[in-house]
Amino acid sequence: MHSFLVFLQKEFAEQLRTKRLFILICFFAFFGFAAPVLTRYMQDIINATAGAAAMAFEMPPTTWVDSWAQFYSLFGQLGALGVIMLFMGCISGEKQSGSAALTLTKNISHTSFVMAKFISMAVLLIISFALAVGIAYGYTYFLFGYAGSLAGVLLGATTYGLSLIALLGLIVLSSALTKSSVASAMMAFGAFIFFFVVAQNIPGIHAWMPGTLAGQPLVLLAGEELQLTSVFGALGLTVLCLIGAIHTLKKQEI
Amino acid sequence: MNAIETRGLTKQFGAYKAVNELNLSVPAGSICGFLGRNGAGKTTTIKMLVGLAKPTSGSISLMGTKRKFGYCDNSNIGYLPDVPNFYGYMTAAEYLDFCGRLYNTDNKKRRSRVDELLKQVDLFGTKTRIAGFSRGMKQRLGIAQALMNEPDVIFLDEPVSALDPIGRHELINIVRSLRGSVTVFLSTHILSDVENVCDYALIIEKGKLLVEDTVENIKKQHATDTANIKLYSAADSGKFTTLMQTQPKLTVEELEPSEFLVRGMELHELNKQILPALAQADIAIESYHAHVPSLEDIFLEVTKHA
Repeated sequence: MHSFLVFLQKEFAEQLRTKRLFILICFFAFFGFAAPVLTRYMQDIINATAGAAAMAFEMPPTTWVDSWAQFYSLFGQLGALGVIMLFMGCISGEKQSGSAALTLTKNISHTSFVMAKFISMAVLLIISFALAVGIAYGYTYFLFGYAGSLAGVLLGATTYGLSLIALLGLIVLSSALTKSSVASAMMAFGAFIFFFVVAQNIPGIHAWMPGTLAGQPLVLLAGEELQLTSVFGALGLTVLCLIGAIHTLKKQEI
Repeated sequence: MNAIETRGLTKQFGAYKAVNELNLSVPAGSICGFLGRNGAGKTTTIKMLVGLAKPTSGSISLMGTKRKFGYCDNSNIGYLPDVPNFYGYMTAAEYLDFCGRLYNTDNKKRRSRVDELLKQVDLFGTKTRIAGFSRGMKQRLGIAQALMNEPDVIFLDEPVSALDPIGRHELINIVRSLRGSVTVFLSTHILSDVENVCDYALIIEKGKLLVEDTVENIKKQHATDTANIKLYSAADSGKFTTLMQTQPKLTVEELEPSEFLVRGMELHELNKQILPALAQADIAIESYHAHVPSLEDIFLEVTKHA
């Protein structure tokens, strides 16, 4: 336990000193600012860029719900890619550079090594995402006069946050399985496509998939019930990924 | 007591045996040179010893404790890989402190150990981040981190191979200073370093152990002193050969018409017998080079027949 805490502290310090925290906060905060603005001024932007031809095209008036839809849409496309790019080398990078060989021949278990990395990244992800949600809420309120009930927004953000954690689990497993950052990014991206996009169309399992969970904020904003199976599915997938990563690293030659 | 013991240690990659039935017994407290040419299996052996590679078969004991891949207790070992890579955003002191905390060393002891080691490897007061370190500084820090937990055994995998002569000299001096305090397992192909600093040596070739003994014994068993004699005139060659035939212990090899290699006795005996005999027979010489074989000569000889 002691070495886990020491390594966790080192991981947090690393997130700060390598400016990873700053990068992720800025990246996510951009979505928080951009989504309400893009939604509110979409018609003006189209008119300004497309000229007279677009004047004839009249968009229906946008609402605060569209702002949140835009926010989660940005996260589903660019956000996931950014998270994969930022964390792809969390384990494979250390194996590739040789720093893992130095650390793992000291008094630290493979479990502590993997868990400390996962928890530090999860905290970083949660902080950045929470900040982005706060910014999106404030801006949506400012531009549309209403941003939804706070409880609904928080519940939606929590469900989406859980899907990001599941994505992080996939990244950690990919990074443990491979020996280069590029290979782990490709594997994580493939896993993301499967679990967040493809599996949503497979009858019988789609309700358990993290992709379904990622769609829950909008379902909740529409006044529908939370699909609990997707919460359990995402949590289960995360746990399985972590167990897989620990087991892989334990059996792997570095 | 042996610090390192392996029995039938084997590592196979497909059909290729990188390490083949290795039986090592390295005495505790020794500085052991682990010799072999590139690809002989040195790094693979060290990786198995420190728990980074899984043996195909065989067993490993360090300080009497068996090691199992994936479940190794590393509290009494130190390791410096051939190309060490640290967390570049840290300073040397921060990195050593991090290592010390992983070993749960108490604060006061840890801080004094960090200072002590930084002084030992000449990095005390260096505020530069590790990312800005030279290769030599990284290797010195590598030795310091391997010693942070006051281990019983440290494994140094080719620590000097990429260093300039000054860096190499500094590092070898550090290794020499460890004598008596820790068992050092030093993998290298720079044989003069082993000769200068090691008291025990192992030679492997194609994954097999060829020689294992103290450096002194290896030299005694495998070395043959020689004298290279060049005559002033080739006309004396016949006289010289006849003279050498009167010395039954000696063997003579003709290198050139007027140049001979003589062996068969220890160097001081060779000098004592040959030089007066040549003077007495009135054979003039142009040069006389007495040669005590180095570990390098022995290494080349031993691995040639492997």
